[in-house]
Amino acid sequence: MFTYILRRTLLMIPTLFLISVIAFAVIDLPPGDYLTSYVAQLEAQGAVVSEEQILALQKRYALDQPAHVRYLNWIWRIVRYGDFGQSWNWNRPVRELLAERLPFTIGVSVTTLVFTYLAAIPIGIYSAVRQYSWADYIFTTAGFLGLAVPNFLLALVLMYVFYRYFGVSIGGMFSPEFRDAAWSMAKFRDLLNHLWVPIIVIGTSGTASLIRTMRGVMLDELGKDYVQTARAKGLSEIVVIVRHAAKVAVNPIISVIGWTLPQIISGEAIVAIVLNLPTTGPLLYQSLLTQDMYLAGSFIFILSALTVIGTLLSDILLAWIDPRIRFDREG
Amino acid sequence: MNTDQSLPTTQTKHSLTIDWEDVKPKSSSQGQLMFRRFRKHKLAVAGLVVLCLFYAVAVFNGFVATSDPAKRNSSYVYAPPTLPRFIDHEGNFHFRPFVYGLKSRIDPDTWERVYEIDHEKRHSLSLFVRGDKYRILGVFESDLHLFGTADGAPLFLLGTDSLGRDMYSRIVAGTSISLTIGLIGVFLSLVLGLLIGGLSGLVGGTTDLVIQRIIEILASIPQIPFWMALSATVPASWSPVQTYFAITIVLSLLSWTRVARVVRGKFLALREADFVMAAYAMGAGNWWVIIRHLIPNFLSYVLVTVTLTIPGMILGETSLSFLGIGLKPPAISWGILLQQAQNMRTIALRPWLLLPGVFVVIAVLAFNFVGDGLRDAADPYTSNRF
Amino acid sequence: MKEVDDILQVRNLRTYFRTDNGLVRAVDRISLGVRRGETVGIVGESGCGKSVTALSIMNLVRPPGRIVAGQILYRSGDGSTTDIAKLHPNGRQMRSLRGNNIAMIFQEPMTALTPVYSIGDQIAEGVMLHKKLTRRQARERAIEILGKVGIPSPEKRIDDYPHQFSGGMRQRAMIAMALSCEPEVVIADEPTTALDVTIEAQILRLMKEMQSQLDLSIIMITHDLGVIAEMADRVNVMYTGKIVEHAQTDDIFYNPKHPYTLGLLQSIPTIGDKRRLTPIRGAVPNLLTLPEDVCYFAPRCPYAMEICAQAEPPMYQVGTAHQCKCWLYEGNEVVAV
Ligand SMILES: Nc1ncnc2c1ncn2[C@@H]1O[C@H](COP(=O)(O)OP(=O)(O)O)[C@@H](O)[C@H]1O
Ligand SMILES: [Mg+2]
Repeated sequence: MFTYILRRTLLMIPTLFLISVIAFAVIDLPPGDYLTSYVAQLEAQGAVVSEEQILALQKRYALDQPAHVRYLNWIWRIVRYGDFGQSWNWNRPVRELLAERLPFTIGVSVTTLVFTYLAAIPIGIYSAVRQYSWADYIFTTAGFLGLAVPNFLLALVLMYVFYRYFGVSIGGMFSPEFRDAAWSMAKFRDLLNHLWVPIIVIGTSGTASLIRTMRGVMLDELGKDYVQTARAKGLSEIVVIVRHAAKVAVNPIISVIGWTLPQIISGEAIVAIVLNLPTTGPLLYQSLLTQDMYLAGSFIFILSALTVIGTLLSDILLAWIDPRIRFDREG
Repeated sequence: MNTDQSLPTTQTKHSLTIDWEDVKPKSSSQGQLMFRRFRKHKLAVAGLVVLCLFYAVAVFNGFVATSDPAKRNSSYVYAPPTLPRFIDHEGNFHFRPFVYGLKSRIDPDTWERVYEIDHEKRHSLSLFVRGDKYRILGVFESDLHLFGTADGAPLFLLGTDSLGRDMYSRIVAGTSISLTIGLIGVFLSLVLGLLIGGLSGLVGGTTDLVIQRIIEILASIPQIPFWMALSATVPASWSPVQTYFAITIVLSLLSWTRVARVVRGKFLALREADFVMAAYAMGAGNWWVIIRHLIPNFLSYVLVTVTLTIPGMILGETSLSFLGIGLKPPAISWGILLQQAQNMRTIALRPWLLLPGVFVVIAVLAFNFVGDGLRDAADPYTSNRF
Repeated sequence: MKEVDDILQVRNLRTYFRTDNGLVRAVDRISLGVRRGETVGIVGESGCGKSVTALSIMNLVRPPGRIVAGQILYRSGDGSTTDIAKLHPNGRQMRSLRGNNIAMIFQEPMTALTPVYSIGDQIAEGVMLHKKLTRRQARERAIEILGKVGIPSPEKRIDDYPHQFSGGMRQRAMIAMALSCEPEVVIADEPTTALDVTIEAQILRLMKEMQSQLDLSIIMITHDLGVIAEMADRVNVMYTGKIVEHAQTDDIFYNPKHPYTLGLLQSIPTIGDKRRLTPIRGAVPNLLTLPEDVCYFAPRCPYAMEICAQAEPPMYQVGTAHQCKCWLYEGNEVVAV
């Protein structure tokens, strides 16, 4: 098990490298010299920018060097100093902004992931066992709808419905009185009161596709020989379904965390913009609109790295619960 | 009782022949089989019909629209939808559908324009009326519209936007961009996916490993932030057509992996498949194997994947344009139309601005149904996985 | 056919599948009996309904299939008789019989074990259920039975997972699982088809050993006449969902009555036989498209007569404990079931 984890962790390095290259491409891609635009922006604000300051900035970002040197400079500063560069729009280190927003992104994403699985697995099992029952049809229809409604539209519709029929405006992560308050029981409760909206909005499409996957895998498993063996032992149907078929069917479901997680983080970005959540999404959006590319590139890098790490964790989890993988990869 | 009777020992051939051949099912080609199975899938057939309709509208949008989508009516800003009726306010039935006109006044408190139905003005609708000029496919000019008010009074079936433009005509106009961006994007993904996936599956070895790894990495990148970042780098100075193609390229950059995975998997599986073995064993030449067995089987899978990739692209374009970093006005797409619905106040007062979303949902549903039907038809033995 | 000491009697059993393409009469009015301690063979080509027969006896037929008519009488040790066909498939009574009184060994040892549980857990599961043992006792029982079926150092292998066992070992584990609750009847559905010839011989020997130790009745299902010759006391020959001949094993081999049985015998190679092998001409007909009330073997039968295409033959008594369903024996006593 240990060697397996070690090997998987090492395999992650080239992945992270490639992701960092892509992220850097995002930083580097916009035409024009962003230092110039930065300086222009500072001057427009009335600041006086000296020649030395410009030179210092040029040196810091290696702007006079070719692209691969700039990349190495960028990645070196991240790895060595944790320095993601400077957000020109906010005039603060990107690292600080990340530290503020990232915990919320991770929190919302992980909660949504848990919600997605908790909802999808039992529903998928039920749909498979009662294939073609009215409940199966309802879940299937709901699943198709969940896949077809864009996240942001669902958020807008929910906002409209709540405003129109309940007179409340949903959105944000905290009520105004808690926004800047220190953490307390009351603040936590306030958070839970707000959190369900983004969870439902972000989780719907993931849950929908996961239900379909779970149903499909479960149908496959229910048709396999070992299910009949289990029945032939005299086990009751519920034991056969839960302890045997579902136990096997859940494994591939866990292995698709690898693509459920990117989907959730992806959906989170846009939903957060609509619902005005204090996560990375709105900041990424603003940074893109204002061409604040160090901030944007760092977000892309960090978000992708998060999904890669999340996938790694899910693979380790899978190896831990599925003996076939555990022994195959160890031996 | 004769219990020692034994069978005659020689092959006494009796003349009796029983022919049950004619009750055997007729053999048919893979395509025919697939079509027959597809037809059983009611939702898929419905989805296909809807898609055909939508694409017909995309081509003939000027004809289906009731007015020029860019035409502004300053006296009808944010007018609510006026749906056709058959029964008037006094309860009389009219054989011909009609709409009432709108009266507007400025609310003295809020300074908002408020609309009321004007029962005095009844405009009946008719088919094939003359109205604003338009071009079909940019070539044929016409002013004939599928329907409209008989007296030429303005018709706002689905309301108007902030500039008094007719939402119905704009949604119809948006069909062309919203539905084709997925098609072109999927075509690019298909080309990339076929090339790279084919290479991976055919060459194998290290090439395969490296490509698989890259695909894995691309699959772990969250799509929307990545799309956002890339499309934000599209210069604002580009023309709508340039932007359109830039966005399709952005959308296909992550989507080809899905096609590539299917192509590779199929190549590997097909190389080993029993029926290919059987064809070899029977002395079929290489090309015969490929044409007769590999291609049809393979195409059906690619078709399924492609059909299921399009909705993601439609959703992608809609999301990007909604955020204002995809296509930009004056281009018209469903995502651009939804841009106006960004803030709560607007939605609360003018919920009809969300209507383009309904069309997005219908189109995506239709594609998903058709894709599901195709998958079941292509491979009836495995249930819907992944 | 009405033996007093039959432990299991199947009478006029019909199991049909209602499919999209039509009704499949997979098992169509078959009758057979099994005595205490004997091995009854069921032999026939693939698709003739052997597995469906086995599943019917276990009352494990799943939709779209259903036992439509007939009786499956099980006479337990205390003398009480149960009609399995009348029990609810998932009901308490049926479940207390399954695994406990009647056990089954499946064809594919590769897929018939749940991949995510250790062999020991899977054996213990049934023991705990039926014998009301604790987890520890069940585990000891599992080790003991694994040792009996010839798994070396069972106390170590018990925690292995199915994929760590070879095919032959898995089939031994399946047998261990089937025998773990000391059933009276074991249904073995092609237990050796998926195995090598040498392993096959070992497994068959094991089954015989277990039978004499535990006084088992075995229903041996196979398409291989060699296995029948090795194992069975009596044989039922099955074709398209019907039993066409039933006899002592010796009679089947040395005095076959039904043209189909003869065809099966002629299509197996025997050492020292100079005659050429003659496979049965034609193929097994599609059960879906069969007309009713004919002899289904007639199109392939070298002895076919006019009547074969007009009416279904009854079962004739053609010798001591020898029945055959063929118009060639018209005039013999008809067996009533
Ligand atoms: N689940 C099912 N659905 C439809 N038909 C079935 C099903 N299971 C078995 N059959 C049909 O029943 C017949 C007998 O099958 P089976 O008992 O498995 O044959 P075998 O003698 O090879 O064990 C076959 O023709 C098969 O088509
Ligand atoms: Mg079978």
